[in-house]
Amino acid sequence: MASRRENLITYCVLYAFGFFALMPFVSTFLVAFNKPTGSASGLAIPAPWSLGSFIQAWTDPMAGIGRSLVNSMIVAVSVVGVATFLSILTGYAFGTMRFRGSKLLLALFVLGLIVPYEATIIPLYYEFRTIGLLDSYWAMILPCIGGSMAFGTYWMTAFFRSFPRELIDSARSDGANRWALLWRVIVPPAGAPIFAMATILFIWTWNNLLLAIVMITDPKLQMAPAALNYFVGRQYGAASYQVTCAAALMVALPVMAIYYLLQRRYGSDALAGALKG
Amino acid sequence: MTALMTTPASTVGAPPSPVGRPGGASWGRKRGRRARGIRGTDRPGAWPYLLILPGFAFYAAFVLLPIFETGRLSFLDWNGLTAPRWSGFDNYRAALSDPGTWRAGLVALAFILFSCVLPVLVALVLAGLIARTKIRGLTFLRFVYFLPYTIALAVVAIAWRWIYATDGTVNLFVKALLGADKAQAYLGSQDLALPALGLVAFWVMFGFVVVMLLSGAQHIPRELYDAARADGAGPVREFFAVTVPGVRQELRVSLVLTFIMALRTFDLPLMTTSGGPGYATTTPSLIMYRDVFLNMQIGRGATVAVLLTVVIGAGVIVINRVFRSKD
Repeated sequence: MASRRENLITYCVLYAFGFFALMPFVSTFLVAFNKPTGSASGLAIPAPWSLGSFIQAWTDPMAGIGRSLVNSMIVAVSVVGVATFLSILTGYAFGTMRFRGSKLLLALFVLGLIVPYEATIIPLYYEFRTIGLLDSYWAMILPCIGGSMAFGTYWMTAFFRSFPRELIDSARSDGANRWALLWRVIVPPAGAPIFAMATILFIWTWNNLLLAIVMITDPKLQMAPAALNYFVGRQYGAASYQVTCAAALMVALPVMAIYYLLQRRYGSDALAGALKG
Repeated sequence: MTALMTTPASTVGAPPSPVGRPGGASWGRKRGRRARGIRGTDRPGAWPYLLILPGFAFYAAFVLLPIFETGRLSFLDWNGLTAPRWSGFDNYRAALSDPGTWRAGLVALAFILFSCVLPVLVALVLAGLIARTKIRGLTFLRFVYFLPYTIALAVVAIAWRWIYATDGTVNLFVKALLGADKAQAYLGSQDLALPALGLVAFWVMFGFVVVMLLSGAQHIPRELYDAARADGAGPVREFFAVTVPGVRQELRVSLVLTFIMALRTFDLPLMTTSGGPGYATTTPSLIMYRDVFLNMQIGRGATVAVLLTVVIGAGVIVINRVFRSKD
């Protein structure tokens, strides 16, 4: 094993980067707990601690943080639900069946992992304008499902391919039809990768700013990251930085909670595995 | 594209299952010579197509077709209201002769450095450190490292604007160490805004790469490290002889993913500097967004999107070539 001195250096470096990763969260957190009026500075501990900034951010009628959180939640849950279900189906086909054109079709899906999102947003905007669906949940949900299918298909295919062939064959010989086989034999042990995929898709959908500001202009339908724009725009005016930071924390919280749950349940490798594919 | 596929595809070539084709009798149609060659699989018929159809429909309608449509738009002169006019390669000529495009290219290059190259290098070192010793609190460290990546960039932007503000955290240290007159507004400075945003981009990405590399590094047998040490290898040689080869696959995928994300940088400058001061932090995605949604030059914006896609595709191919040639 490494020497004591090496160990000490290792720990110093690793925890220094840990501090670096956490520091912006800590400073945002500290600022947000200051009173909404007056000024806060640096990494100072709030004196006194106050929830006033959170209350002001939450109740600001123009910003509508609460409503935007609900909007984002509706969109993210719909996208993750539908995309996860459909990705299980496509992954089942690509991962366990042989059929004509499978290679080409899978390549088409994987293409979506590489093509930048920006390349799709212009026509999407004009198409949704043409059919009159701008400023609706659909303008967020439908493109996000489409975008999620590339990663979802790729990930579920990789996982289902590693599923033991013998189990599938013996279930088939017991007379299970393919639909029952999927839901009774193949999906139950795949809880961890499916949950990991769902988490990634949730994070991507929740954090999607470009689509949100292009598709949604009605303040009532605003997504959470876009609602932060309001505070950023005002922060040198009436609203204080404390309120902006409080709003930012409220937007970050659902994602952090979900990431924490995933980590608790499956360990941090689940996410890494999902991203690596 | 094939790039990302190699990892899972390797399992396709798994040795054929020794198990025969149970229940074959009832599937007489599939008993032909060809079917027997396919390891124990009965023919799925229309099943796979039906399973893929709904997912593919979403994907085709909201990703594939729009990509082609963007390509078409890039050949049009269109303001979004009046009838579009076919303009051939005019948009491309205009975009490539516009100094703004090249300036954005340089900014993108800087982001490749800050959110692809540097994070991968630093993450390699960190993963190397973690792999060779048993680290206490590793679960906590991994959670913390990865946290920045999970947070919306809109939130990240707010957190860092505070850090860079005149009475923010960075200036707190600067004032204490260098004197009160050295404090400044970093995001408002022509020279410092880009490196300042670069540090944020690095902060977002490095933990993401560490976690990816670690998922490969944990499969490196500890005996390899012991053997390297027995051969008298120092930490540096051990790093290049054991750790780096051990995480090659993960390294390749991390480079591809961070490269794509670096070139797509959009939220961060939009929410911190709006691309300024001047054009110091204007990325290609920001140009595209402005062209289409503010200047109503849809063809021009689509051209930028196409060029960006081409550059990303070329970069991904190069990264994969480099790794394949070492195989």
